[in-house]
Order: sequence, then C-alpha cells, then structure tokens
Amino acid sequence: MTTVLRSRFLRPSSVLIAGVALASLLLPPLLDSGKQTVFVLFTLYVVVTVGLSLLMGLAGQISLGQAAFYALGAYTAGLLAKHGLPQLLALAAAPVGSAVVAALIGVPVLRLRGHYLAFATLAFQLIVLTILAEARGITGGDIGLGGIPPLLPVLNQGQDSELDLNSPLVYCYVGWVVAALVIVLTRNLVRSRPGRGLRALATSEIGAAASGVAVGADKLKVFTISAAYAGLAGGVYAFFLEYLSPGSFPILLSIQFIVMATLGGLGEVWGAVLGAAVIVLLVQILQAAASQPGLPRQAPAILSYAAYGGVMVLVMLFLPAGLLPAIRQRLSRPSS
Amino acid sequence: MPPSQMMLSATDLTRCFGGVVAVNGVSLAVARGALHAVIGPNGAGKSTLFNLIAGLLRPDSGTVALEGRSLDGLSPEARARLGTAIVFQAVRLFRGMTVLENVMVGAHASTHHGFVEAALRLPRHWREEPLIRGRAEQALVRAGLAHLSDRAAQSLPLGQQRAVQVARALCSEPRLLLLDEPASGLRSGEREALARLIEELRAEGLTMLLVEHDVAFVTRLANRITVMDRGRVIAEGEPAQIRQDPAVIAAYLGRPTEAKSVASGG
Ligand SMILES: Nc1ncnc2c1ncn2[C@@H]1O[C@H](COP(=O)(O)OP(=O)(O)O)[C@@H](O)[C@H]1O
Ligand SMILES: [Mg+2]
Repeated sequence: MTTVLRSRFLRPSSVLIAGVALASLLLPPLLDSGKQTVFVLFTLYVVVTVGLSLLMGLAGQISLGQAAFYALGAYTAGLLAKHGLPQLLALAAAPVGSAVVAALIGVPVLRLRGHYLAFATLAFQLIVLTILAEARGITGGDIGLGGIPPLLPVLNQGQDSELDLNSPLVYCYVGWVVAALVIVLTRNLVRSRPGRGLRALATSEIGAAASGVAVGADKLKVFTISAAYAGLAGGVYAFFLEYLSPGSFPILLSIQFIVMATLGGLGEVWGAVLGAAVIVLLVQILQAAASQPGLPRQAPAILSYAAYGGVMVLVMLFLPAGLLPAIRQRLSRPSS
Repeated sequence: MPPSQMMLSATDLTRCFGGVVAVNGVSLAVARGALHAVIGPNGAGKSTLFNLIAGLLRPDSGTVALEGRSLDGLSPEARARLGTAIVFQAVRLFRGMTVLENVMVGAHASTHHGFVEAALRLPRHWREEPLIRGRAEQALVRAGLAHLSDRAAQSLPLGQQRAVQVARALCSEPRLLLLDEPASGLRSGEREALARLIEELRAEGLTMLLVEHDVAFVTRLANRITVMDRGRVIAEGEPAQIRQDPAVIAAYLGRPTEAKSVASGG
C-alpha cells in the first residue's frame, strides 16, 4: 500500500505538474504589466481550450464558434455587474449563461456531423456577433460596453499604494485559480465512468450505446461543459478589461482555440495547456516581428492567420496526435 | 410457457433495407437460462435480428420484450440498462483505450455516477470506481485476457479483440447476452476456451443467444436452435431435431463450405 502510494506520488507526471504549477505561480511578479496581461489571457485561453479539447477529443465533436460562448460569458458577467449584481455572482453567472445557450442550440446542432457541425457553430458565432453589434440599447453595439466594475473591491481608492486589487498581477492569479479549477474538474471527469463513456463514444457510438453509454445526452453535456468553460473565461475577461466590444471576439479567436487544442493533443487536459502556451508565445514573437516600423498595420493579424494555418498544417503532417502525446511517446520509448 | 418465463420474446419482426427484406416476420422466444443458437447462411438476417433486439436498428414492424417487458422504442443504452449485452460480429472496440478501459465501459449499463459526481469526486464515484474496475478485471480473467489488460485494445490480433468484446459484455453483468459469431476468426485453442467459457456461463444460468456457423460447436452448446434463411425462420427445435430437418439440410447443412465459413456477413 505505501509503495503504491509513494510510487504514484512520485510519478514523473506528478512532479512535472507540481513544477509547472509552482513555476506559473512564481512567474507573474517577474513580468512587466504588458506581459502580465498576456499571462492573464493565457490562463483564460487555457480554460477555453481545455473545454474545446474535451469536446473535440473525447466526444468527437467540433466547434468553430467557441469564441461566441466566450463572448456570451463576457457580456453576461459584464452586463449583470454593470447593472448592480455583485461581481462574484455576475462572474458565476457567466458560465451558466453560456451553458444555457449551448444546451438550447446543442439539441439541433449536435444532430449534425463533421463539416455540418463546423458550419453550424461558425454560423452561430456570426449570429452572436451580429446580435451583440445590433442590440445597441443593451450591449452598446460596436462602440462597446464600458463601465464594467472591477472584480475585486477597490480597497485603496485615492492612495497610490501597491495594494491595487485590480492590477494585472492580481488577475494573473484569478486566471490561475480559474484555470486550475477547470483543469482539476476536467481531469477528474476524464478519469472516471462518464469520462470513459465519452472516450468510448468518440470512436464507436454504436459500441458505446450498446454498452449503456447515453450517447446523445453525453454529447450534449460535453458541448454544454465546453461552453460553460468558455463562458467562465469570458466572465474573467470582462472584469479584467472592464470594457467589451464584438470586435474582441472574432472568428480568428475561435480558430485560435482550435489550433491550441489540436496542437496540444485533443482530449488531453495538459495538452490544452501546452497548446495554449506554445501559441501564446508564438503570437508574441510574431507580433513583435510584425510591428516593426515600416510594416503595414494589418501585418500582425495577417501573420496570426498565417501562423495558425502553418501550425495546423505542421501538426497534421508531423504530429497527428498532437504535441503532448508525441512528447510522452518519446519519453516512454527508451524505458519500455 | 407464460411470457414471463421467457427471457426474450421477439414477435413478428420485420426489417427491410431498400428492396432487401433482411428480417421477415421472425418470431423467437428464448427461455430463461437457455442457450439458444441462431444458425443460417450468410445474409440470412441473423445480425440484423440481433441489432433489432439490442435496439441498434428499428424494426419496420414487430415487437421485442425482455422478461415480458416491452423494449419497443427504447434506445440501445436503455436496453443495455435493462440487461441486454451484445458481442458484435464486426468488432467494435474503442480505439485509444486500453483493454481494461474498454471492458470497464461495459459496466456503464449497471453503474450510475455521472458528470458532476465524477468531476467533484463525490462519494458515489469513490464507491463505484473500484467496483467497476474489479468487475472488469474479473471479466478479463474469465475471457483469458488478464495479462493484456494494459495493452491498447486496437493493437491486439482479431481473435483477442473478439475476446475483449466478450469481456466487455460480461462486465455489464447482463441478463441476456447476444453473441454474434464470437468464434469466427479464432484459432482452435481460442475457440475451445470460448466454448468452455460459454458452457460455464450457461451453468451459471446466463441466458444467451448465439450465432455461429460451426454446427458441431453449436450442437455441443445449444439447447435450442433456430434456423434462418433469407430473412425467415425455416426451422426451430432441439439440436437433434434440427440436424435431421430436411429443410435445414437443404438450406444450410447441405452446404459444407458455407457451414465452415468464417467470412463476416455484416
Ligand atoms: N445496414 C445495411 N444496409 C443494407 N443492407 C443490409 C444492412 N445490414 C444487412 N443488410 C442486408 O440484409 C441481409 C441480412 O444481413 P445480415 O443480417 O448481416 O445477415 P447474417 O448476419 O445472417 O449474415 C443481407 O442481404 C445484407 O446484405
Ligand atoms: Mg452476421
């Protein structure tokens, strides 16, 4: 018993996870505030990508509209907080709002397969963006929704102490906690009866159904969970920026989530983290390169599109299972 | 016998595919604890009949009942929860999962903890997980696969993949086990082990419906045989009767190449 416990505790993956957790806790204070903003966005992308990876890798579904759920969560939290709901309750409402919408559209949408599901989710995002832009009375339209209160009460108003509870540094840790929560919940789900059912239905719906897996209901649940994660991330985003506009949730963002999930390894919780980290770093490098003087203003966006396309092609050619499974295979080969 | 004595009663099942009437007015009653075999040439409609019973296909007409309880309109997962389990002729394993994990999925039908209980690690998760694992390990032992439990299921040779399917079905602790050509593609040693396992299960009182081409195999194991040809039942009775039935001899037993065939018919 003790040997089992010890060996499990000292498994290389546990050590690695502890290392990653510690390093990511120590990193934010070392960053300047611009890089802290990138770190916050990274934690939010992790949250969305973990959900999308679950949806694509385990339930075998695709969503080209994940940024729409991110947007819905952001606007839910932003609007509720702006209209007086306590901020933490507004944040809690963000995943619920996205999940309810996902559960409603999921019933017809999940009857579709492959390309049709991709088109339907893409169309859904376009519809959401249109509504956000047109419902000016509520959302502020294209001009945007401002005046969202900060997440944590401002204790130090008027003084310029270092105790600003709404600095990017604090949001680094808010994002960290939310990401950690989502990672733990998802990992628990994957390693359990319902998680095995999902993995099973991804490769044989008939085999899974005949074994008692509620295939249709489980697919809808995963779709809803992935939307809830995106909504939760969107909620944090709303408080972090204190301002929202439809332009912050382009189709490119949905594509970015798919690239992150695919690069890391679909269905892999830690793959989603790795995929998000690599893409965030890559985009940082490209944007630094693209904003050199003399280059056109659209250069960063164009480079991002090119990078996502390029990464997808490379993954499909060389890492069909994704980065994390490839690394794991490399590491396990010599020992076994 | 009154209907409640019957584990399975299928009545007047019909199912067409385009112009082909794959199953044509088939009725079948399987007594509790019986090992009932279905034989017939390729294309006779045996697999279609199994799919109708398991709920994987809808009949054009006819009804199916398990222990007197109607299964009509129920999804495959609902039927699995009521106690049906199927071993497919065309192997359907879960890729990317180990042999043990594949078999553990079989326990879905008789366990309950869901998404929230798993994500939050609530008590029912902790209660059920070891139970599921234990049952899967036991099923693997019975199917002779204990030494392969950590292998990727799709990496095994076909014979062992069939055995994984049997273990997965047993892991659900079914009331009615549907075995669709479980012995096809097996080597003689594996075939013998499977026959012994089926005999053991029968001795424990498990009701089984078995499709198998090898007549010696069937007559050794089954206590009742239904013979199908071109979608219809052409004979039914005890093994000794069936072997002498002229219609059966003409349709099936008289064609030794077909009788020995291991080809899969869908
Ligand atoms: N999904 C399907 N689509 C079209 N035809 C089918 C399908 N399944 C079975 N059939 C046809 O139904 C008939 C019975 O097939 P099947 O039930 O597989 O027979 P058996 O298992 O006895 O070999 C065959 O003619 C077969 O071609
Ligand atoms: Mg068949």
